[in-house]
Amino acid sequence: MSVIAPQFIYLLAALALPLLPVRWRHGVVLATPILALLLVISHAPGVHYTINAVGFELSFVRMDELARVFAIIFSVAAALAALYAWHVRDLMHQIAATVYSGAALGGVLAADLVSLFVWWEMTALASVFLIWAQRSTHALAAGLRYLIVQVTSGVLLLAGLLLHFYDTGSTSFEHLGLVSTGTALMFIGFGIKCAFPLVHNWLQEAYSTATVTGTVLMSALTTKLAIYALARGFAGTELLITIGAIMAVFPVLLAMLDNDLRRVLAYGMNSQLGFMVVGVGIGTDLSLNGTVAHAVCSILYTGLLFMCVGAVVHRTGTAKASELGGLWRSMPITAACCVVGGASIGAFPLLSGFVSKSMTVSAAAYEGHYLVWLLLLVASIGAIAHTAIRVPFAIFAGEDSGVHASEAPVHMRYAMLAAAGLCVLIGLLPAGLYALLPYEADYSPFSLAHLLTQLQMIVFAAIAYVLLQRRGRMLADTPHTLLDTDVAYRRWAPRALAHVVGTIAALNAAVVQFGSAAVQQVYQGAARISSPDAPLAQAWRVGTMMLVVIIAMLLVLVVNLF
Amino acid sequence: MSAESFERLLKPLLITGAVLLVLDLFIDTYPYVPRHGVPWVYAFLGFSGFLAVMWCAQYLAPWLRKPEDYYASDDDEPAGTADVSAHPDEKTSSSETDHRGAL
Repeated sequence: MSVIAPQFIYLLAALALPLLPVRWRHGVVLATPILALLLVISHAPGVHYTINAVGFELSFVRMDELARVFAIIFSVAAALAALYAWHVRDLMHQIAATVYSGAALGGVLAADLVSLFVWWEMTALASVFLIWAQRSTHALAAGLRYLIVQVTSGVLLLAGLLLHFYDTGSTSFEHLGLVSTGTALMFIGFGIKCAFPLVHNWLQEAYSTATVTGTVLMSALTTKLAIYALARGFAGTELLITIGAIMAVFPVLLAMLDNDLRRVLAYGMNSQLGFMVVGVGIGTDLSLNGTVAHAVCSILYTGLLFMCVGAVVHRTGTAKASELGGLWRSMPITAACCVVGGASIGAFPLLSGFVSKSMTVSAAAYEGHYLVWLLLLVASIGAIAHTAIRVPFAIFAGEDSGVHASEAPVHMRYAMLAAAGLCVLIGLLPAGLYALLPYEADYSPFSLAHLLTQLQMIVFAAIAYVLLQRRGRMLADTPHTLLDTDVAYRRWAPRALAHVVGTIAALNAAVVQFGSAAVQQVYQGAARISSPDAPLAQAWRVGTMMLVVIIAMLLVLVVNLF
Repeated sequence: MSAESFERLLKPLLITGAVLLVLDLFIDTYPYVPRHGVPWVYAFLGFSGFLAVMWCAQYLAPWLRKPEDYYASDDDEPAGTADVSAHPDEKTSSSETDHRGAL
């Protein structure tokens, strides 16, 4: 056991950053995840750093097989992102990235629900600054929406853990299952952060709005922390199979339609998360290994793709497919890395996606979930279409858009090449990845059947693409905004609210007008009968007054008699 | 890419596809699904799946694609047009040498 828990290295670095000279900061930001990685690799198994606080027993490090593999890939991703962001001098950005990386690592290593909640919320609070660092009005609004969603997820986790503690007397973060209101609330909280269908849109908006370097880091950490939490707490929950299958398929069409390539990648990532959720839901050793392996590979190739598109944004100022094309001549290394990333997400043989995605797909078929298996295949074809083919073609091939750019800066190239190298390495030698997986499961990706079927899908999807292109039937990339579930809270809800407020205001105005008119009439009536000229104000004769008094007394007498 | 480029791509793809279809006749591609003996299912899925995705996308496009300023009143800026390179440390630079911190 080391003197300090790995996640606290990040927090110490974040505290030290403002005190350091500017030229040292990016070095510290890069060195921190490397140091944390060394600590994670060398850390003894078991639960460590336990303290009693606020009536709970908090354990900051639980190092087991599941936590270790996530901790390793989180550290690797943070290091690659730090290298990619070497040029960034913005102190706020550096501190946010460092705290965010540490919080995500802390969440993975937390052995109890209370400390998980603390790290969970810290990831939200730190990462929103990576969006706000863009410093635009749109980024401010998008960051606020992101923060509301993320904090809601944390509040549900808090409510759930308190109910769970009330029910069981334990805050230990072990298998929970959907057995009580408390665990159900935690499940929803995890689902929001995992971008379940209908609560997914924060992902596309945030990742397309954050700084290019911030997006690379965000793509690696937030959702994968949620995948880890689901794998730890809800493995074998059958509801997840349905959710995951829907999640894998529905973003495919949206990814084909969107013009913003960072949003396309976010949809693609959303779909890949669906594979992982299915794996958690199936809950067998093979499927859980598939989830973990796919999380590792997805972090690498999704991060690589965000790096490539980010480099294009960095050089051209746009990620819109309608404004890009023909950049392979000016950015050949970025183009090559993008092809490797696209081929990896498309599960091309000898690349990382090929050795991880098929584990979950196979597990679905082995367990007899044939419809889910078919949907996952459709999602795989979708990944080939929207990311493996569309993204590289839109940016680097296609018609020359006239946008001129130079190759990405050297540090970005190093980061992209390192990520691409890892994608190839895992694809060629998956045994290293499989050795890290938490469960015992015998799986070989290089069977003739797997190679043949995957190649058939890829080649025939490519034939379909070429035929459509040749006939000019591919969907044109045009400038637009794509409607998604965010239309509910960005358009419909404000309009409905405005309608309700308008109706209430109109009712209020009517009531005030009617009341004023009524008061006016009463006043005028009173004035009419009490004015100096009114009958009541005139002098009456004594006889008349006596008659009125007699009538009044008779009325009183009659009333008293009956 | 021009139409000629796609024309050039098509031939090798068709040849590769044909080879894969022939191989499919000799290799059991269903290690876990109880549908032994039906060939070329994955090729069919790849081809028809891609076409289906494209067809659905084209069908949905008129409903889901809106003008760029659709949400403009929310953020006082057209959605998706935020200056992604506006970050003080992420300015677009035309050459590597003028970029601070480039290795």
